[in-house]
Amino acid sequence: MNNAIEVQDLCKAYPGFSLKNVSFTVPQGQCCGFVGRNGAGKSTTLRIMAGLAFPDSGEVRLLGRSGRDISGKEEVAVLFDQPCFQEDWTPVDLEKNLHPFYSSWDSARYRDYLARFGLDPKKKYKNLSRGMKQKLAMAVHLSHYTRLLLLDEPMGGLDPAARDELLDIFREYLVPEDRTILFSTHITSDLERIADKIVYIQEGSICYQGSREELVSSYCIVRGGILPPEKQRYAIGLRQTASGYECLMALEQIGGLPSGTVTESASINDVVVFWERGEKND
Amino acid sequence: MIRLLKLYWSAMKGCRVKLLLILVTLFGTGWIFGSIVLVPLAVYLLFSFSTNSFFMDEKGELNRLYLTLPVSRRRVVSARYLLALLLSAAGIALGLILMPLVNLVSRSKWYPDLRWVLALVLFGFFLHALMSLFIYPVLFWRGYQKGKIWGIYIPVILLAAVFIAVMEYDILIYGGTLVFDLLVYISEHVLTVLGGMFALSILLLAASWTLSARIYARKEF
Repeated sequence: MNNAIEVQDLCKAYPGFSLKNVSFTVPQGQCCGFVGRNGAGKSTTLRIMAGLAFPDSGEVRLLGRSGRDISGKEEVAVLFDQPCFQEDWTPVDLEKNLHPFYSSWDSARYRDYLARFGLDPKKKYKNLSRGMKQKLAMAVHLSHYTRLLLLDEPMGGLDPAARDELLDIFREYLVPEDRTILFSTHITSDLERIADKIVYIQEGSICYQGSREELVSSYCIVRGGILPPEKQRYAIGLRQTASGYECLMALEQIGGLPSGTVTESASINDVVVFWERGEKND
Repeated sequence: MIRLLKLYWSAMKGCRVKLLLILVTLFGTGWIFGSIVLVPLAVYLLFSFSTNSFFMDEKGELNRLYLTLPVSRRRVVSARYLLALLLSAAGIALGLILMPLVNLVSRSKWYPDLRWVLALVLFGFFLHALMSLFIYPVLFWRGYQKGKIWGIYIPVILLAAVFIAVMEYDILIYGGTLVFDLLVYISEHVLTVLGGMFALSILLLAASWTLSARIYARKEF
């Protein structure tokens, strides 16, 4: 299987923060959730991939080409938390301004998407709601042929209904097998519904990359009264409460826990929360 | 590059009403000071108008849009310079067109022959190149809000200060004949002076573009 994204030993230093040898791949045809808390390095990594920032060292390859290859950008679309369009532009202006840059632009498809998303072609960008702005950006990206969609926190500030709609649009985008999405977010519940792979970044380093099923099936949440001392080193993100404890634990370590201990399956959100808590406890 | 040019022009949609103000300012200033100021003033005003593209970039974070399009950073810079050049050229044309109209109403009248029209055109080009060198690299480096003081206000103040200093020097030392003597010299050596001005303008523009391209090539957004 070809990789749509290859990031190799990416390093970038800022005052007070740095990316340290970030490496991961995203196979073609998959949706990869790129998760981490605020300030973990998701947006920095994405900005480097989109060509908005430069790494100190390391390499990025998108769709088999160097990240700096201009010709490759025609097949790569980037959706930020807020689309970057001039506030007085209407959807009609957008098409007029952007279609010359894309040889595969399809005007009929653009108009269809505007109608489907309920976007008034003559309404100014500044007068659209946040969700409508994201849908407009998606209408632009869907109107020319792309194989890679980089999403940098696209759901920020959206209500659940708008997020649901946008997720449907992303799922539809993935129907052709040659399309790939890298979805950077800290709202992990969205990834439960769409992600095939998860890459987890913490303080500028990749802590996990693997399939979503493998992630959630490898851990479970453990709750009980007293955690045996021999099990404490396996407890991730241990929290002691008045009534007992809760932690995340690898499935192969839960054997030997005292009776009365409750285990339940973990979601991506649970895993990330406990990992983060574990990092804070260390 | 043309598509980028159209993109920038479209991005300045909300600023275009200022062009009317520029027209009124030109006519009014020409009426008061005479038609000789029209071409340089028009170049200055329309070049300043071109800096609105930087203002709109910041307002809409449009650099993130430009850099995700399939165009190089060098092209982004070149198209911006082309926009400024076209606006300055429009300023020169506008100044020349307004001259006969202003002559009708102004008390100070000037009817230049072809040599002086050529001199005006090349002086306008020189002014454009000079402003490009001082203003654009700073705006590419710092953006509009942070760059406008060093990139726009300070150069304009310096230019005005130099102009006033030259005028005062002329009056105090030469009895007010320096500028006239300069104009006489230019009229007697038109081709040499204008050729030199043109060559210098090209050099200034090339230096400005090179600086801007280097700055923008490493700028992060």
